[in-house]
Amino acid sequence: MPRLWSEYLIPGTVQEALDVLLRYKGQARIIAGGTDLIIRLKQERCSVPAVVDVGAIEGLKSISLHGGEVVIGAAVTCAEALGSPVLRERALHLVEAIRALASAQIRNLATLAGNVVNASPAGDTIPPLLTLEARVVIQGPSGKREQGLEEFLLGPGQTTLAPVELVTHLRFPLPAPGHLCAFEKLGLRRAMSIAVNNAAVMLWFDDARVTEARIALGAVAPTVVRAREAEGFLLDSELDGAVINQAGALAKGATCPIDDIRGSAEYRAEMASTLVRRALGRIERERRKPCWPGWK
Amino acid sequence: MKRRGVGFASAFQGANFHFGHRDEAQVQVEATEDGRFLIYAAASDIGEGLEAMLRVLLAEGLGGISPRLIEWVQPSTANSPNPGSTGASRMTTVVGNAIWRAGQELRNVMVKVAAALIGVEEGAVRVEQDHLRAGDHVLELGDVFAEAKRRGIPLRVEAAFTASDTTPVDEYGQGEMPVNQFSYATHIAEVEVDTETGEVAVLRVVAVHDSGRIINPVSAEGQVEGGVAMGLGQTLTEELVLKDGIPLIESFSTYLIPTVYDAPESIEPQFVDGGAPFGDLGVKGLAEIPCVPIIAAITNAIYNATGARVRTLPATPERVWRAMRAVGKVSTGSQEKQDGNA
Repeated sequence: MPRLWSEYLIPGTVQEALDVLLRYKGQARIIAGGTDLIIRLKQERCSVPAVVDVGAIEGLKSISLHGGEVVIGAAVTCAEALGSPVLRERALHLVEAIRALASAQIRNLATLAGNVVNASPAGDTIPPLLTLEARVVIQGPSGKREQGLEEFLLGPGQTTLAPVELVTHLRFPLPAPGHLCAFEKLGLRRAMSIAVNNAAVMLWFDDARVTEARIALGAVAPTVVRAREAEGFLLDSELDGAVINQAGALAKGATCPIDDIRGSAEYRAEMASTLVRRALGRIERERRKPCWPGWK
Repeated sequence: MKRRGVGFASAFQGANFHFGHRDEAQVQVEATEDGRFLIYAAASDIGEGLEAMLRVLLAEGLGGISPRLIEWVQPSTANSPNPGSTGASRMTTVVGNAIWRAGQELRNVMVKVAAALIGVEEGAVRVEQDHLRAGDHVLELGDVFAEAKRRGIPLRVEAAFTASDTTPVDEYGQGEMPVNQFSYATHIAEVEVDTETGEVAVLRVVAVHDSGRIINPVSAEGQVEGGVAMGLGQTLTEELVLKDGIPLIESFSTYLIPTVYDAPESIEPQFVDGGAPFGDLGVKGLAEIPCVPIIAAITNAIYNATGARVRTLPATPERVWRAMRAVGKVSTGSQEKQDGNA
């Protein structure tokens, strides 16, 4: 096995990282947890001139609240995110997704931003981030740009990120209290498995009436997708069996899955529907609990 | 919705080399002048507990010597005889009987020399853990073997054991006596099947085994638990997918062996002693059979839970879902009540 890289660089600031990326003319690779990058380099049996470790960059290691926004640094690991009070209180489906991701050892290394940049259609944290309408903050040679996560993802492993650019943060508006959310995953075993399907649902209520709905489906299209028809259908409705079934059926319409070693296209389309029904059912049961803060 | 079901399956598996292949083991044991026993057997302990078995059965053959005084010399074909390969669930039966015989032979030497030293009948000498006793006389093992050496009695003995002959099988797999020994097992599995997704959780397994007399109960339980977990992997997750003859599964990231979360909360091994058809010890192989009945026990439990038969392994969620759909047992509706506040 050849050496995977010639230089391992640990910049201390974003500017230093950008300088390095520019110096290597886009041939350097960014490493955070490395749980996808190392495997890919080994699989491709290639050697890169440099990897740039973003783990030591000032300001990328924390989850903070800024002007009503949750800001997650690019070096925040999945394990660190699991311990975040703000995520547990306001984005529980993201916490559920992280818990369903890989294993404790991998979560200790892997970062949320890495899961996003890896752009797997099956990436577990992407559906909840899409329902949070997360934006990706990117620094490049010509300054800072920002993009909605949905637009950032182009296809399997493909994003709008240029080789000389660096994702520094993910951010999303702090969800107002009064919402409920759920993440569902179907895998071939109970841990350490890539999703056959995953789904995230986020709903806002006025009493029993849905005032806003966001649904994202993983592993059923080249990127994680929103199920907008189902979302529209849920608006102003109350969740009963018929509504939940109809929303599930509509969600299937947002999918265009493929056959692969983990499942057939037909099964995946059906399971997208099943997971949405399941998440909606879970949310409705939660909503009816007297202890829910939004309960009237 | 989830449905529970229970299934069981029984299996028998031939142990030892069979189909007309002779199965023989040769071992040597050497007594030392400092009162220890060295086993020479060029076999490999591949994690199944061969060393413990050899020491326990030699201790038994020696008439009750502590296994702590017994050591297995690093196996090497340069200094040790050939007990045959570690495989075919044969070691406890074939090598175990051989080592026990070697123990018996050395025990006779010890007792004979001790009786002569004390001046009593051989029948009066008893073996007690780390010494020999005749009435009030106590003899250290080292002294007995030093005396034996002075008398020119060899302290390194060789013993062999040959399993019952078997006959070859014809092109239809038939023969007069193709296998000389079977182990038996029945596994009972309780499962929970998700009727929307086809996911299967194995909740509990009771595994009843007849492998004759169990030599090392703790290790035997571990063997059964491990075998059940391996069989569970074959049943539910492990698959080598080929495309045009090329494996699409190239690593353990896609060849899915069960994790601790996939293992049942409870695997309960139980042993019944049905004896053994030959040999002096009443032992039969346990090794491989723990992987066998669990597969059909789980798929029978899936059938019991859902009415669906899965006939291709592994029973992945999709295969179970398709089998359920074929018999109209997939649930596709929300379980939420139609009315508002339940």
